[in-house]
Amino acid sequence: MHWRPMQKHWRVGGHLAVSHDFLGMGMYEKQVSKGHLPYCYLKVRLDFEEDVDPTDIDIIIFKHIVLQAVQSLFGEAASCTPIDVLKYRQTNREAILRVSSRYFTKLWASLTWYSCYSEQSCAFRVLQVSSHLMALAANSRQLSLA
Amino acid sequence: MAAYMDLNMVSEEPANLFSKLKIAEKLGYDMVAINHVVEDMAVLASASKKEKKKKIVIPHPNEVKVDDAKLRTNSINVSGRPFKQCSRLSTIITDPSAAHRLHSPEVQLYDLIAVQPTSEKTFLLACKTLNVDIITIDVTQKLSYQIKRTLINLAMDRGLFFEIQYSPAIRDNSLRKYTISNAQQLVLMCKGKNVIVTSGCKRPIELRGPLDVANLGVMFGLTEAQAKAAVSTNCRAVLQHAEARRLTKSTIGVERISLPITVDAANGKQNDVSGEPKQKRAKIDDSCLLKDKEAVT
Amino acid sequence: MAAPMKHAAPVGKLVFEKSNFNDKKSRHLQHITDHYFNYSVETMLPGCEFLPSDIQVPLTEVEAFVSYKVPLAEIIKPDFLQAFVKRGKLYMLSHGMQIDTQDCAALLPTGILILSLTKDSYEQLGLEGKVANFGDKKTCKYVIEINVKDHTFVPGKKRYERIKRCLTEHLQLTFDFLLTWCPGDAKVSPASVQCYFQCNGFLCNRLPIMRKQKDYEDLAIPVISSDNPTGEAESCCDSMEFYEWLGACATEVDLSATSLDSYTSSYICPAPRELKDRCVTWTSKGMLTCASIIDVLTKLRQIVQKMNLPWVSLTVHGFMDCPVSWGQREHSFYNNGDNLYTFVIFPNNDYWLYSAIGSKDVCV
Repeated sequence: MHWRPMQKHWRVGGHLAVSHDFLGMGMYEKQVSKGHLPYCYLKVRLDFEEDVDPTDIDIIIFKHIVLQAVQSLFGEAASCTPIDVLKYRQTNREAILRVSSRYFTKLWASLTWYSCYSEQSCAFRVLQVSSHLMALAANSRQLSLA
Repeated sequence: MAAYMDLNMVSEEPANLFSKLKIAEKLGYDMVAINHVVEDMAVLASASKKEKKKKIVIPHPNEVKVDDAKLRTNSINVSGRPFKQCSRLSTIITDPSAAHRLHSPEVQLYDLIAVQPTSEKTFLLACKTLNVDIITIDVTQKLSYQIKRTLINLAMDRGLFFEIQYSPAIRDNSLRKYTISNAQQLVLMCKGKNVIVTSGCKRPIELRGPLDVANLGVMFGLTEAQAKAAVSTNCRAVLQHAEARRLTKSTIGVERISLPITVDAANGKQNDVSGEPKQKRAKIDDSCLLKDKEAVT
Repeated sequence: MAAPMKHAAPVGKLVFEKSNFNDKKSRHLQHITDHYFNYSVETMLPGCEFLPSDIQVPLTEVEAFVSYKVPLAEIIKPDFLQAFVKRGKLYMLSHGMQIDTQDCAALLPTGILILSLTKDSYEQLGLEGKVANFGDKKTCKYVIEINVKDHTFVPGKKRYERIKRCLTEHLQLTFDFLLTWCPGDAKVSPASVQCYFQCNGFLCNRLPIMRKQKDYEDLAIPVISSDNPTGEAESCCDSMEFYEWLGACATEVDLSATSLDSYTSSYICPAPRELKDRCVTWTSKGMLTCASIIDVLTKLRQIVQKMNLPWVSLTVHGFMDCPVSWGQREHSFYNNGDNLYTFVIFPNNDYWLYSAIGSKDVCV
């Protein structure tokens, strides 16, 4: 059987190594992405200084707040970058955000500086960040022994 | 990597301060410095001479801090990690002639001493001669002096650290531009070394987590490793510098290393000092300093 | 731009491998057994009407314990080494300590005790180690490796006595440990290790395993083909998009959206898709052993063939604050402590394997 290595590079970008090995029956493939993966994911929570009725902030308003945070620090151009609210839980205002990894630091900084929504002091708490959405499914630091 | 620290938490009435410490602990800090702010040393100096009534009293560091016993017992250790505090005094120096007040015993009682220069002259003084640990860069207005590399190098050789506060810009969005530009100026000049990023927060909600702060550091132009050092290792170095400062006037100082951050890996278990030789010390030419030391330890 | 961020570095690394279980050189078993400390296991079975009852058995049988305030000197006692380390596989991991700022310790089943210490502790302890390879030179942590299984590591020998002295006199390192023990002899109960600690006056409790199951109805799932991970043919999905989708399932993202025009999120299930009446996912969290994960993998391989499913997935998350990821490769925490892997198992015995690690970790 004639076998030719695939030369096509993956679109994950950055430095990457593609190796192929002809092993017995099947074909072994390995792709290593060390550079920027396409997206970064943040698990965040919006905390208010005083208790706020959870129904006050729904997912639309939450997204608006995130965009407002980015726009006030980096301006119109930056707020055009797609930021997705993948998941939002209204009871504790916890969300998973997805952003292109190039804008990750900027988004994070914008969230850190954000301090006030409709004259109420608030703060974004960034709980977990990762370049793999799967990684946000478990957090071993939350393991309680009780 | 040392523990995460926030070396600037503005002191206030105990109940509020306590809630701030609780938040800090929850966010992952292992140590905070409670900051007592003296607006201007010059006022202090002149007042003490002429009008005794108006004299500003510098409280004892223990009055500034939260009661240690309360800290230990009041379930602040939610994560089981040891949580520590230390005292800090900061002041703005406008008049070089009043700066000697910083060397007075009641000021030197504090664990950390920080100054904020307001002019070229005082910046030079702070970098070159003042016996302090931290030089605060004003982030609330355009810098009235130029940060020069020669002066920065002088200060770095003496082991001083430069402080950037982030919470003034959280309180007031319009101050962001000064915070960012002053911080970037500083980072450019000191090449990212000897920088600490602190909160300077007045309310608990203004505090941010250590990783958030490190990310801000990246925005100020630090590399990732430097940014993380700005909330951890550099803070540890500040504490060591402070320890050294308090010992400089003695000829020999022997004591068990009990830096506030050296802790056992166990849950809050501290090194047992009993059984160790009592703090030994050769004759010290400055008697007040000896008193300081005893009061601190 | 006011704030250039040219320094912003990648957040993580991803390794994708494709191979076949029947391949003699396939390293899937090695991959599982080298990942010593497992926090959570997740599986997804698309098109599965009900969850086969025997699949969770291996994970519910795992006996994990947590032992409080154990000094390290206790672990290098000859009795303990003889009874547990040398007669089975003992996994111990410090709990509640954060790898980026605090001291951590782990005892691997290979008999290597790994200490990841801060500079202060390292200097007080006085044992020789090497600089951890994350962070810059100044901000370093130190890693000490001690082979406690070595036949020369016995009382009376110079090295043993020195290490004992350091751990008892210089710095009494004490940790809360999570631990599991797989005895070499099947007649011995894994709970003996709990007995040992309790007899020596330590509080040692059973660590419960949390289970969660979620059923989906009418879920659109991406179509993938085992021999076409790049999705070039347009009849199947790209493996990277698929991995993101698996993550979306695991984090319970709402997957019902099918169009891109939503204000809040532009995420949709990657195309081409197919609709499945029922899908089952389940999660177990605790401290799980490699052997039980291999059992689950074997069962899943049978199920995917028997029930004629398009594929099944198995994801294993490691502990964020573990000093090692795979084998003795150092693990660190910059702004995340990712070390996890996902198997996608196909009926034809092909598999895809994704391994995700933090940006400062050494690649698998």
